[in-house]
Amino acid sequence: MGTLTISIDDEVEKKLREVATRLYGSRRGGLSNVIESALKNYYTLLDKAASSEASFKALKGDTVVAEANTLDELAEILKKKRIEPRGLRIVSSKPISSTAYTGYRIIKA
Amino acid sequence: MTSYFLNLTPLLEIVVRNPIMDKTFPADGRVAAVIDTGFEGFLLVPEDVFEKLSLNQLAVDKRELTLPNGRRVYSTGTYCEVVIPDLDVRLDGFVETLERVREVVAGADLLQNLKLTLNYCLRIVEVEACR
Repeated sequence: MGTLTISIDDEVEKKLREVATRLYGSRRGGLSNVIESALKNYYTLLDKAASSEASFKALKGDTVVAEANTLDELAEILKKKRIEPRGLRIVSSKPISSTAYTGYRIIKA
Repeated sequence: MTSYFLNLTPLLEIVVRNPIMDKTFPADGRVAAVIDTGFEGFLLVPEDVFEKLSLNQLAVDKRELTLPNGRRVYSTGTYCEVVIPDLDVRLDGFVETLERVREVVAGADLLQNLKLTLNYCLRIVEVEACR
């Protein structure tokens, strides 16, 4: 168990104490539990963002003709293999969603 | 200058590349993309830009886009590289096009890689790469 001395904004501290009391009552360690849990969630978010890097494949029909971590590298491989790029399908390991919004969400009352 | 306001619209100067076909838009200089956090995609470009990049010569995918008025349309797209020259940032992502689109639009999927500050009080747009 590590011990940290940190400074936080008064409002954030007030909210932290409220949450700790709501979740853990007057039990010892309530503040630490809330902070630990919040940090774990934050780390998960950061890890998710860091792991969002994609890799790319070039397909001719159903056959993968090249694979790389970036489009630049993929282009280099295709050039080296003298593969005609026209008509190739480029796919990413991080697929796009089938639908996307282009503006404000309209919430129907 | 990488980013700035044009009237009240935040813009980001970028270069769009199709490394697979070795094409760049614009061929010289940069294009100002509209920063649009309401667009969930990576990059939306007009049809002529899509063609200038020879992206239409690759096999393309279609996907459904929901417009602000709730109307649903289908875009055509594939992958490209966006370069932000002043930040030395290169990002790969899905670029799509749609009939009657006139602007280059940078969406949330692209912006998630940047620290973006819109200061409307001072009319300053600040963009930094994520560390």
